Amino acid sequence: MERRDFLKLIGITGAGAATACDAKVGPQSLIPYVVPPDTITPGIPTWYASTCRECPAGCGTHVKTREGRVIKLEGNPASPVNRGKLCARGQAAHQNLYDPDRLKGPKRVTDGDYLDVPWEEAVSQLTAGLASRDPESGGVVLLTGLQTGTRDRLYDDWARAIGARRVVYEPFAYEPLLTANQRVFGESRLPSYDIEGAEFVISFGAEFLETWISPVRYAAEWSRMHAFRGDEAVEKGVFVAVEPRLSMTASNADEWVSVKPGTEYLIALAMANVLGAGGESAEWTPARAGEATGVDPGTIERLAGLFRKKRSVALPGGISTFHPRATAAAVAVNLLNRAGGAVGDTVILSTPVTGGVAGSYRSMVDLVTEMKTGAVDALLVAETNPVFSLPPGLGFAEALRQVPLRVSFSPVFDETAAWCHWLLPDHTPLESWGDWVPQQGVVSIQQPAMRPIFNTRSTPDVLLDVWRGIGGATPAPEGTWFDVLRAAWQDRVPDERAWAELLRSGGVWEGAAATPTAGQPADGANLGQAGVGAGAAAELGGGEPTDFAPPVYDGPSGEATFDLLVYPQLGMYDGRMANRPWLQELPDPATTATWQTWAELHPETAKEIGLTDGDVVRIESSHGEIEAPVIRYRGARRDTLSLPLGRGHDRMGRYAAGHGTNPILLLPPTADPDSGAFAWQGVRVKLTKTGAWVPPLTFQGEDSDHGRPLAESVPMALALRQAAGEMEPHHGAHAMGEDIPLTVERVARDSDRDGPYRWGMAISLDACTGCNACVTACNAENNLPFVGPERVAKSRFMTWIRIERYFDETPDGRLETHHLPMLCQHCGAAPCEPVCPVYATYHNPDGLNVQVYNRCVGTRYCSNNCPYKVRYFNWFQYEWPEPLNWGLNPDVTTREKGVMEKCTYCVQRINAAKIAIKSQGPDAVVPEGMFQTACQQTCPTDAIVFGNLKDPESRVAKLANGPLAYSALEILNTRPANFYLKQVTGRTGIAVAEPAGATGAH
Amino acid sequence: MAEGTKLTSGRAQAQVFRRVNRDILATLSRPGIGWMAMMGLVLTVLAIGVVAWIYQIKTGLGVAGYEPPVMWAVYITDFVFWVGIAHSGTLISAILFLFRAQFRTAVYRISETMTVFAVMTAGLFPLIHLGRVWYFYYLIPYPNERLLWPNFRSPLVWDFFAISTYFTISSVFLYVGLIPDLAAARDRAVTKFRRRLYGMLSLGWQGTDSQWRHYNRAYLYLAALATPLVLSVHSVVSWDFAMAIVPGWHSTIFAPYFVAGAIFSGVAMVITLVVPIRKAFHLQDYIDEYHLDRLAKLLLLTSLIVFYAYLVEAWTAWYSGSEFERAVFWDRAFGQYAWASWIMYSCNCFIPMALWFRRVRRSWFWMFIISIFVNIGMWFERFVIIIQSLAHEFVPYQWDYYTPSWVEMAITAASFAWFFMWFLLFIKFMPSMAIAELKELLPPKLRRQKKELEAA
Repeated sequence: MERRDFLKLIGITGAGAATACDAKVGPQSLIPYVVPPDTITPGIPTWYASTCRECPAGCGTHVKTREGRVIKLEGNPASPVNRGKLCARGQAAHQNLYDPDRLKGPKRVTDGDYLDVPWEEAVSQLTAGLASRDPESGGVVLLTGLQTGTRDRLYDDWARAIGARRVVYEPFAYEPLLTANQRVFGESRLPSYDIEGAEFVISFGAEFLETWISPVRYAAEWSRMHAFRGDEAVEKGVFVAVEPRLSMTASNADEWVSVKPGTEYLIALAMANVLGAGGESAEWTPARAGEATGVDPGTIERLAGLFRKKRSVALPGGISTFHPRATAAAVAVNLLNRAGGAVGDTVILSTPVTGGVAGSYRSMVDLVTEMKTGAVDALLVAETNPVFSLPPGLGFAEALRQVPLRVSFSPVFDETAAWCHWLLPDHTPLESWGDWVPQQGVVSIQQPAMRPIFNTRSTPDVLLDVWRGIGGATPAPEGTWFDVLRAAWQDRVPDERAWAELLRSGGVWEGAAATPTAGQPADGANLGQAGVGAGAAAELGGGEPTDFAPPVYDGPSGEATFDLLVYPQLGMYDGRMANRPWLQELPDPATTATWQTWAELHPETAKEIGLTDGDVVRIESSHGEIEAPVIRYRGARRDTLSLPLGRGHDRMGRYAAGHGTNPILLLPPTADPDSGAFAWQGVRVKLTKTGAWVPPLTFQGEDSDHGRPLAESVPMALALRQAAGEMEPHHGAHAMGEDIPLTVERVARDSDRDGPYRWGMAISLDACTGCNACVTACNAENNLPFVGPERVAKSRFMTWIRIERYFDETPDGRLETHHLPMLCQHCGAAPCEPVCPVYATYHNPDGLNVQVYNRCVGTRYCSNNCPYKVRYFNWFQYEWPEPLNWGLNPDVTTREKGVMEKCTYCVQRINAAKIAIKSQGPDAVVPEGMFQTACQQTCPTDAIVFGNLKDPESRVAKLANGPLAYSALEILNTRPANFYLKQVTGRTGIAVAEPAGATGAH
Repeated sequence: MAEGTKLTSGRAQAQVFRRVNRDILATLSRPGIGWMAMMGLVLTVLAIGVVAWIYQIKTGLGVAGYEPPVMWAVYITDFVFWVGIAHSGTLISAILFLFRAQFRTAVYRISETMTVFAVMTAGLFPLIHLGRVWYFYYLIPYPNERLLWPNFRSPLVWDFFAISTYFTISSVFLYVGLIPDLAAARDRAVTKFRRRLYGMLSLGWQGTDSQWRHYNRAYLYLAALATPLVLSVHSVVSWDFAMAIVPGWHSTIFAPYFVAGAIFSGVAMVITLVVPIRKAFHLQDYIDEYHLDRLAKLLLLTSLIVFYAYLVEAWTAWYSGSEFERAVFWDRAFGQYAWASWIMYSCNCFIPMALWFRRVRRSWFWMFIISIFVNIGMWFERFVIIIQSLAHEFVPYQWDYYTPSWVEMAITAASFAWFFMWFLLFIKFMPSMAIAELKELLPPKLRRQKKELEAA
C-alpha cells in the first residue's frame, strides 16, 4: 500500500468511526439542561422549606433536593413545632412521593375496567355529573381529612358555593379530649401542654412520644424536662405513665403503673380527689380507684403528692383510651390538671394545637345513614381512607355503593378509592402548595419541592375547575390553587420579596411561644376543630355530671379471653403509611416486630396457653375474628391482648397489601356517647390456637442483656452527686488488663496524630426514647434498602443504626426498659480491621473505621469479629422499584450483592464539610456544628451528639468526659468512638439500692 | 528398596513379587458396572451442586441459610472438615514413614491421595463462601497498578498460603511416591494410551540402583518437609477462629486441638475408604487386621486428645471468669444447638471408647461403623464451633438460630461427590497401593506364601 492510500484509508475510517459514534450516543441525551435552571447546580443540594403532612402535627421541614429530585427531609429548625427534628414517619415521607404504586393519572371505571382519561375530560365530566344532579334528591358531600389553613377554607368555600356539604373525617381525631375540654375548660380545643416546663409529667395512656397529637414536639419537650446527661448537676423531671401496656412512651417513664385497660383515668380521678378536687371525683378515693384498677392506693397517694409538690402536668390519653367512657377519662385528667393547678400553667389553652376534629366519627355515622337512604348523590373523598379505618360494622363500604357518583382524590389506590368511579389523584404533599396551622398563631408553608412525577393534579385545582364549571352561589376565585393560596397571604405578605422570604423561612412562627395569649386564630388559619365539629361539641355543654364508672369491656369471657387493646403503631400511624417500605420494616419500639400485625401477649400467659412467638392464633370478638401471630412481650398485661393498628390493607400497593391484618375487624361501631368518638377500645376477645406458625418478624434476639455491660444505668441521687463533682463516677468494667477507664483522650489518639479530627459520638440513654427516627433518617441518608419480610425473618435487616431494647427487672419486680442505639462504634482498636484479608475495612486518618465497598470480596469475617454486630451484609442485590430509586442520595453509593456495609458516621457529610472549610485556608478545621450526622440531626430528643473528640471544647468531648459516660463492652478494649451516657433511674421516690461498689465517694 | 532385602531363593521371590504387581495393578483394569454406577451417582450429585453454586452466584449469597450473626456456616464447616480429612494422609505417609511405622505401607497411598483430593475439595469452600467470588483474586498477592496487597494480618491470608503450600507439597509427595509404581504400571500396560501415559509420568524410571538411591533420599527429604505442614496447616486453619475475639473461638488451645481433631477425622476417613476398597479389589492379603488395629489405636489416641480438648475448653471458659465465654459454653451444652453438640460429644468421645476392645479394633464391620460416626462427629464439631459460637456472641439483641438451606446441603453433598469422583478416577488410573514398598515388607500372608514356595 502506498503512503497516500494509507493516509486516505486512515482518514476515511477515522471519520467514519467518529460519525458512527456520534450518531449512536448523541450528546443531547447526556446533557439535560441547555439553559440550566439557576436554582440547580449539579452536585449541590437545593433545599426547600415545607411542611410535613404525614400526620396533623404539621412539623416544618427542609426538603433536600438534588438535581431536581427530593432525596431527604429534615426538620426546619425555625419551626416551633419540631425545632429541626422529624419522626420516623416524617423521615420516610418521600417514599410516599416515590411510591411505585401511585396512581399515574386520572382514571374512570367503565364496566369494571379502569380507563385512563385526560384531565380535561375527567374534570368536565365530573362538573357535568355534579351539575346535572337533582338538587331535591340528595346532596354532594366532600369528605376530607383534617385540613387547616387556606386549603381548609377553600374546601369550605367550594362546598358552600356549589351547595355541597363538607365532612371532615380523621381516624385519630381526639374528640373525647375536645368534649372534655369543653366541659371542664369551656373550650373545645386541644391545649398545648408545657411538658418542658413541668417537673412532673404523668400520662394516662397518652403515647406522646410516638403518635399522640404532636409527637416530635412533645418528645423534644420531654427530653428537655427529663434527660439527665451529667453536664449539669440539676435534678431533672419525673415522668410516670399510667397505661395497661408498656408502650414505647411508658417504657421511657420512671415508673410505669400498669392498670386494667380502660381504667387509667380512675387513677387521675383519685389523684384529683387527693388534691381536693371534690365534686364529681369525691367518691373516687384512692382505695376505690385502687380496687378498680388493680393499683396500690399508696401509689396513687404518692403520685398525687408528687403532682402537688412539683410543677406538674397530666396528659389525657389517646387512641388507646378511647373506649365508651373516653370523655369521662379525659374529664378526669382535666380535673386532675385543674386540681393540681396546672391549667393555665402547664396546660395552655390559649395556644391550642391542631389535631382534633370534633364529631369526626359522629359525622361519619350520619353520613353512612344518609348514604344508605340515598340522600347522597355524590361523594368526593380526599385525604382520608374511611373504608380502611372505619369498623366494618358501620357499613361504610356498603353505604358507599349506594352513592351514584363516587370520586377519590387519593394519590394511591387505597381501599376507598377501590369503590370509586373516578380516580383523580392529587399530588403528594411534597409536590403540592399549601399552608398548615399546627398551632394557633403559627403557620407553616407547604411548597412543592419538585415537579409532579406523574400526571396528577392538585385537588384544590380540580375543585376550582369544577366550581367554575358549575358556577355556584359565589364565583370561584381567579387563577389556580397557587393563586388562591397566594391571594390568601396577600394581606400579610404583599410583595414578592417578602413572599420569597416566607418560602425561605418556611412559615410564620412569631405567634408561637412568644405570645402565649394570642387571641383569635391567625387570618387564614383555621384550626380544624373549630370548623365542622364546633356545633357538635357545643351542644354537649358543660353542666352535665360525668359518669365515671369504668367502661365495661364486652365480649367472651372465660378461659383464654382477654381485654383487647388496639393501639396506633409508631410507623404505621392510622394506616396511611402502610405502603412506605421503610416504615413497614421499621422495628416496633416495643416488640421490634415488622411487616406483620402481631398479637402481643405476656410471656407467662402465652406459656399457660402453650403459645410461643409466631404461633398463629384466631382472635374472636363478638363482632369479628382475625388471625395473627403471637409475639410475647414482657410489657403486656396478663389480662390483655394488644394489637397494633395500621396494617392489614388489601389495597394501597405492594408493600401495604397482604401484610398483617386489620384489628378494626374485631371492633363494633360503638361510640363514646359523650363525644361521639369511635370506641377503639372496649371489647373482649377469645383466643384459640390455629396450629399454624409463621416466622415472627422481629429484630430482637433476646429481651435481656444478661447483665452484660451494654445498656447501663445509674440512680438519680448518685448521678447528681457525680455531676456535682462530689464523687468519682463509677465505672463498671475496665478494659482487660487496663486499670483506668477509657478516656476521651485515649480514644482521640486513635486517629492520625497530626490530624485535627477524631469523630465521635455521645449517646444519652436517658434521652433516647427508642422512637427509631434515627433509623429512618439513616435509611434515607445512606440509601439503605428494605429487605422484605422473608429476609427479616432471617435477621437480614440492613439498618445501620438500630435500637436495642433490653428489659431489666428491678429488685422490687418492676420492669426497667433500656433503649440502646447501636451503630458502628468506629473503634480505635477495631476487631473488624485486622481480619479482613483484602483491606476492605481500615482506619482512616480521621479515626473512622471505613468500609471500601469496591474492595470487599465478602468473607464476612469482619462481621464475625465485630462484638457489637453492626455490620450488615448484602445477601442479595436489593431493589428499588422505579421511582423509589429517585430518592437515592447521589452522594452515597448503593451497594452490590456480596458486600459488607455499615455506619459511616455519614462520611459524605464529613467530607462535604471538610471540602467547604478548605476555602478558609489549608489549616482551617471544621468547627463544631458545621454539619450533623443524619441520625443526630433528626433525633427529637437530642440523644445523639456527634462531633470532634479532639476538640476539648466540643459538646461531644465534654459529654464523653462527663460522669455518666461509658463505653459499651468496654472490657473488650476496642476503644469505641461512641460514648454512651448512662440512663438515670430511680426518680419517683422508690428506694433504689445503690449498686455495690458505687458508694465509695472520694 | 530392593537393596535392603536379602536375595535368597530368587524364584520364589520373583513369583511372589509378580503376584504383588498383578494384584495391585488389577485395580487398573476396565471399570466394572459397580464403578460405573458409583461414578454416575457421584457425577449427578456433583452436577446438582454445581447448579446450586451457579444459582447462588447469580442470586446472591442469601440463598444459603445464613442468618446474621451467623455469617459463617456450613461452607466453612465443610472447609474445615475437608482440611481435617486432608491431614492424616501426610501424617501416615510422612510422619509414620519417618518413625518407621511399618503398618503404614498398606494404607499410605490411599491416605495420601485422600489428602490431595480433600485439599482440592476444601480449597473450593472459601470460594463458594465468598460474597463476590468473581473478585477472589483480591486475596492473592499479585503486583498490580493499584499497589494493593492483601492484609497479611488477616488469618484468611495465612490460610490461603497454608492451604496452597500444603496442596503443593502433598501433591509432590504423592507423585514422587508414585513413580516406581507408575513404572510398574507402564510395564504392564496393555493399551498404547496407558503405556504413553504411565511412561510419561514415570519419568523414565528403570529401577536401577542409582535411581533407587536418589529416590529414597528425595522421598526422605520430602517426608521431612511435609512433616511440619501436618502441624502447620491445621494450626493456621484453627487461627481463623482463634485469632478472632468471638467467645468460643478465641482460645489458645485451638491449634493443637484442631490438629488432633484433623488427624482423628483423617484416620477415620482412611478407614472409611480402606474397608470397601479392600473388599472391592480383593486386597485382603495386603490389608489385614493388623493394619486395622494400628489405625484403630491411632483413632483412639486422637479421640482421647479431642475429648481432653473439649474438657479443657469448657474448664478454661469457666476459669477465665469471662461471662461471654461461660455463656457460650453453657449454651453449647444446653442451648438451642445442644442437639448438635451432643452429636459431636457422642460421636467423637463416647463411641470411640469401644476401641479399647481388641475385638472391635479388629472387626472390619465395627471399624467401618465407628469411622462413619467419627466422620459425622467431626463434621458436627466444626458446625458447633463455628455456628453455635457465632449465634451466641456479645450482644444478646443479635442472638439467632441458623438452619442451612437446600443450596448449602446440595453443595455439601456435591463436595463429597467431587472428592469421590477424583478418588474413583484415581483408583482406576493409579496404583492405589505402594507396590515397591509392599514388596519390601511383604504382608504376613504373602510372606507365608513365599516361605511355602521356598520350601517347595
